[in-house]
Amino acid sequence: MSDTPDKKPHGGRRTLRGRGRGGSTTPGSSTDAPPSQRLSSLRDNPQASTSGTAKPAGKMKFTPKIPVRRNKREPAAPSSIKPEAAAQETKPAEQRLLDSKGVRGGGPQNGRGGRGNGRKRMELTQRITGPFAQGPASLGSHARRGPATASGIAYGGAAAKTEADDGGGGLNGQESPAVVRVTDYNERDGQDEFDVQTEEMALAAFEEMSRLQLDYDTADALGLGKSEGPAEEKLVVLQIPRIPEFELSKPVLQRRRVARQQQRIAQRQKAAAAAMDVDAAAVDVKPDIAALEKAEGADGDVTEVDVKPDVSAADAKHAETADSAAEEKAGDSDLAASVDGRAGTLVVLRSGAVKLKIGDVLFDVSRGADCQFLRGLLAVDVRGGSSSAYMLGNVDAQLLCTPDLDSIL
Amino acid sequence: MSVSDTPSRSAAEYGLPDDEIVAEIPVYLTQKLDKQLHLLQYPQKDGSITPGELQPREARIKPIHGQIELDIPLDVQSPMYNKERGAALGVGISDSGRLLDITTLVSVGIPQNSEYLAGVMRDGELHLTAIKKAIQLRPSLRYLDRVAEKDLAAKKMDHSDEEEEVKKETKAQSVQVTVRSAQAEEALRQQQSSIAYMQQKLEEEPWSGLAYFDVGTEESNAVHADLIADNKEDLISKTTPDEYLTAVIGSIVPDVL
Repeated sequence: MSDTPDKKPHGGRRTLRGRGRGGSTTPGSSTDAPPSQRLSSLRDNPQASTSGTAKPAGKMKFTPKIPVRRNKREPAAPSSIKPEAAAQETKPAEQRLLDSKGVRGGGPQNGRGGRGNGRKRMELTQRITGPFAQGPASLGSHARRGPATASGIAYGGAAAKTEADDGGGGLNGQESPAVVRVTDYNERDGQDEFDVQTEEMALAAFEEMSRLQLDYDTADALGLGKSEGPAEEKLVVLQIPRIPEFELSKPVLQRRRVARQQQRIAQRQKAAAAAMDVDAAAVDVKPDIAALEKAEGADGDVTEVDVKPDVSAADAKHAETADSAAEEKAGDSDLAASVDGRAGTLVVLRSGAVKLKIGDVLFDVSRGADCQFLRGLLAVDVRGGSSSAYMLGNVDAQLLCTPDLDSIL
Repeated sequence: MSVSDTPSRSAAEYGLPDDEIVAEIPVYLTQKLDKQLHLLQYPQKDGSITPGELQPREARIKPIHGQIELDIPLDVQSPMYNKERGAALGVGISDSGRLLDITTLVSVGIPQNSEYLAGVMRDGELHLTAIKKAIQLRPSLRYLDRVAEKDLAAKKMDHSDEEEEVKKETKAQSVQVTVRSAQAEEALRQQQSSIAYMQQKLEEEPWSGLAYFDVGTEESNAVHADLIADNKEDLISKTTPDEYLTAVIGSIVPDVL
């Protein structure tokens, strides 16, 4: 065609020439027809051809002589392709439309590619890993439980990938299952590195994060806020830095003391009836103690020297009052030890926050990290000769109580 | 769910005056099972299995150290069960040619950084009991050790005489060493062997039988009732918020000395 010795090579290496590489001649010096066309447009948009940055759609008029094969594995080289073609071929790999339930994950939210190079309908794949796999608080728990199982996600990912391999097939109304494609960051296909976040994306992400910090789902964990119906008992584990100490109020203590005394009297009478045959008071005392020990064994009472009120020796009576005083003291310490009663209140607030007031201390209650494995509650009794274990149930949820420092300090 | 009757109370007393109370749940504390409650974690089991699936055939406990062993039966009839391998490994359990038909779960204590309470949500009330200890149950591979031991014992049959002599000699030597060591070294040895010592003590303690009552049994239900507080009266708090904070901070060991 041309006999100029400095004919530059033509063909698909326009980009190289645009950069001034590859050819020994300067670009644009040729007068040949086919190459010059391309060259001139290239000259007009030197940036577009080289760095692949923003180029308004529709301005490109030229058609490549050699159709550039768009392997989805290759980094984007948008300059030489029609914008529509580009969009079409890369979209199936990109477009994992999230289901209508909204945005998932705590990472960078859906957004346009920062370069805006004509892929208008492109959406970022949500890569959900780690603690944010649960999704944002704004979704109900049903939304979260959908593809949240590991197998569900893997399936979705696999399906998505096979679709992408079809090339342009993904857009043909084929409904991919509404999935979230969960990938390892290391697995990034180099195709679309949308590293640039617009400010909107950053703000949206921040908002999402702060919402995540709210005590979402804590009320659910307790079985509240849902009309699950009554009588569904839940077993939870509360994590608290320290349990505040309590004591029984006076009226309760009094009441228990009285009840205990009555109990003792009843026992003594029983023992007395049993030991009526024996004469000497001293001898009587012994079976009493034995009987009482047996009876009170379950209570864990300190063994006390008890004297029957029926034995009417003067010393015996005197001893009795002294003993019963000692007995009461011992009993009191037992009563004080077995603290039982209302310790406080748990409130669920409209904002979703949950607060717990134990005694005078205020706590924030949030849901503990989700636990995939089985947790149970076992009561192990090793008292006496034999040991027994009682399985009390599976733990449904774990709650974390943090002292509300604002109120304490 | 017990919703408070007074319409939308402000949550001022809970530090959020702009917020409304949607639900109020009384919280009760009880100590009846205080010394007995254990939080069990099964790291290898999924959280959704029913309690009956983990019913052990036999259970053992070392009462002093609180270590528990559960023998969970395996389905030897299942088409997935490899009978040959089962027989080979069954040697680790007994010599009677029994198939390996149990998985033994051994408990391991978990260090606790905070206190745990077990809570039962029932009828809009929350009943709390302190948990004494948290343990994890993991499969024990002791049967593999035993299989290896038996193999080794079979091989040793040839060298039995020589071995005994050597053992006697070494024993004599070790006794001499302890006599010679100074008191300072004894202190060091105590320190060194503290963990080993404890481990040894643990191994020395014999297993005793543990009666296991699964969820839904009468006995278990009876104990479960102890999680609920009987007394609904208010308790008096002995800790002020200030004291509480001091106590909490005081119990945290700083990393930097």
